[in-house]
Amino acid sequence: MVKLPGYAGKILYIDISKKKHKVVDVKESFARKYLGGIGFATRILYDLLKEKVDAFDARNPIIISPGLLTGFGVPTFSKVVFASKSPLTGGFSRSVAGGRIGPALKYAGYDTVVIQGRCRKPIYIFIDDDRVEFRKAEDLWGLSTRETEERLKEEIGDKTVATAVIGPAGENLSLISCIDCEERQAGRTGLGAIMGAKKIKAIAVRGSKDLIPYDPDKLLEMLPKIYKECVTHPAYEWDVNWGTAEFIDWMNRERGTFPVKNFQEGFFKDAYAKLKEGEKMPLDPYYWVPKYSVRNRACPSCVKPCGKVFKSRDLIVEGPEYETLYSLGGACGVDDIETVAKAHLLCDLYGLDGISAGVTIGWAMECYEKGLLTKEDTDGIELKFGNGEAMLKAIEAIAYRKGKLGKLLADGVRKAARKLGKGSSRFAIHVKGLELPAYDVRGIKGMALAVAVSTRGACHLTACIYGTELVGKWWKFENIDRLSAENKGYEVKVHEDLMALYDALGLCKFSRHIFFAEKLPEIVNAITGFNVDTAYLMTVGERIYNIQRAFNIKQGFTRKDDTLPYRIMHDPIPEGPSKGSYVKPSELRKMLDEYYMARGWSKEGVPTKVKLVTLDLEDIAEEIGAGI
Amino acid sequence: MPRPKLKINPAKCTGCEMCVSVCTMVHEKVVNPKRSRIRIVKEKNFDFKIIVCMQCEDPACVKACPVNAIYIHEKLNIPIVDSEKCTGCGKCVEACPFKAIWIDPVTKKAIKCDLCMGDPQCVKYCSAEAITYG
Repeated sequence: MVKLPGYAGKILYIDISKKKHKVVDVKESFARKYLGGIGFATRILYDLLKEKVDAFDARNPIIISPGLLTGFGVPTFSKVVFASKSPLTGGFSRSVAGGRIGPALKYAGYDTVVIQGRCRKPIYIFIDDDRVEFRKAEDLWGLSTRETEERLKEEIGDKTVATAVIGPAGENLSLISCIDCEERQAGRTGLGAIMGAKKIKAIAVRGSKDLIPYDPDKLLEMLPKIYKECVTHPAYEWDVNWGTAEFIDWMNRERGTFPVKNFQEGFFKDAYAKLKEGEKMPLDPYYWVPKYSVRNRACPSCVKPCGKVFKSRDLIVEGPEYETLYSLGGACGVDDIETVAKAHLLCDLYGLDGISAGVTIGWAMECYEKGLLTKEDTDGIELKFGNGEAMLKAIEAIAYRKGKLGKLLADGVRKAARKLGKGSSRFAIHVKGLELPAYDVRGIKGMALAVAVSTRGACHLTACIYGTELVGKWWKFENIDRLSAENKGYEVKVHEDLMALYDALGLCKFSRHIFFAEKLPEIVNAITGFNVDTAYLMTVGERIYNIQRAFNIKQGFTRKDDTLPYRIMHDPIPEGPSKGSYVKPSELRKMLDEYYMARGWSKEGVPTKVKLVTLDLEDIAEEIGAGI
Repeated sequence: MPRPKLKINPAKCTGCEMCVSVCTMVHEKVVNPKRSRIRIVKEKNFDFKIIVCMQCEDPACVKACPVNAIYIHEKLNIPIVDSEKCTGCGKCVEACPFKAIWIDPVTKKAIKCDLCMGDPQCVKYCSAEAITYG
């Protein structure tokens, strides 16, 4: 068989129970239909788990799938998807990282790797081109992510191998643990615990094969243009100089949608109240970058690096960034930047999702302040908002399931609130079990719909709609009113399809202002020779998204799961530019109806047969029992 | 005349490895970091090492080559590998003080930075200006 242009050409299936692997060719029809990245991962996961299984069941795979363009060195196309059934949400899990392991897998000859089974003793998997080794990892068990990466590279004797590892949190099956790819994380939905349950401490990859584009001359002709567009775009200066949190002050003072103290406030009132005339808020990169940032760090083939390396005394970490400035800052009422950076570092070293950890601790702080948790429950920690030391101790407790507090919080806010009871679920800020990201969706109603329906739970990246909503226009959308619940269905649907496409291609969502959808066909065609257009690519995005929905339906999800936290639907934002705004249950119902209609799904949120057949997914229509 | 060479400033490197992929695209029309004439290594504390030929005045690779496959290019005034002569024995790799010459895993011949014959392409994609020329 002639290798498919633009593809490494193989899918690697690993069964760690039997310590065996097999290699399957990527068929052209499959490649055209799903492109790569999340497309491959979604279809493979759907086909492997046709019945409802526990996330820690040996059959539940961890799938690693670099985007179609990942590895080709096209600026900002570098992402790698991790997929599985999430132990945190019980549904479809996608977590995307800018790790070197994505490109490395391609150079080793694989478009996707699927790992099933489980081991009794810790191992790490070393994929070295055609060779797949299962190596003992008992001596790595317990180490931090950073130490694990260093030890792996030492043991293999090659600092250029790419790694994906878990920390103590994943080993201890924390449902909010992540996978660390050389200090870039596949953070969300608890995938560290999937590796932990399989007793896979790490995966190391080395590749030395050619990745061959269909039309190299065309690619070489396009590269300088794409590079120029990236570095001359107005967002370049923001990304490079200030990182992802450039707009944090605007989110607080202009929009009032920066969640503070577990969504009790929509801007960081205490932090701003302390400032003297002309001073910057301490979480604002305009304050901390000049003081602490020593260099920028990029994902593979990114020419507009947004990672800010933070150094203070013996602490060095890539971060904090916008999300952790919220979760380990605002959400816990902490405005000391050194503490936030320390918390970010601890989450990275322990292998915890910084968003979920911070939101869970914020919830616990509210419980403590309300008297629902006492010092006895917190192992003596004074768990009040603004107590940075307490937050740091809580992070450690979570990673090691230490003490009463660790046991309560290690599985995220939904489980913690269920265990504690006492009405605390009313301010547990999650959807489908996944904690909310850094946007107070009470004042961003299109985004509220997006987090309600996202297949992986509350997530800012499934639709990536916050910019459109907060600015009021983007791409083909204009006159968007963030405070209105009207006409959000189509808007969310199109954003989701586009972002599924981005994850199929491996494109960074921070580059959406540069590429939109229209610039993608030329690049895809140069790499693959598929000769496809924008509409075709958007349909692939839609197809992928529908399969994720079908997967969730098979795992037991219904319309009832497309909901919002109680607080978002009942407690208005108390102060600031979005004062009084919240999403009424009737508004959510209306938005859901509209969204399902825009998607061509039933009122119950089940894809219709008509829609699935149109997407060339007739088999799935039958399997989920889609009517009409 | 001193030899021309890439100027490197590792403190500015972001670790994106654009230089690596562009290098192989330009030279081989494929992407494969193990065939690149420039390499990036992530060290502790987010330091990145940039490994590329320093175009030595008195090149150890030239001396080490048993078949005289590495010669000083008349126009460019830098050591260049004559891949027809090269046997892939690896003596140059052993000799290089910067570890900046490699054996290509596909052709099995030595590869090193040739400054893209005077117009180094990696420089054009280094937005961080960690690699400059001229």
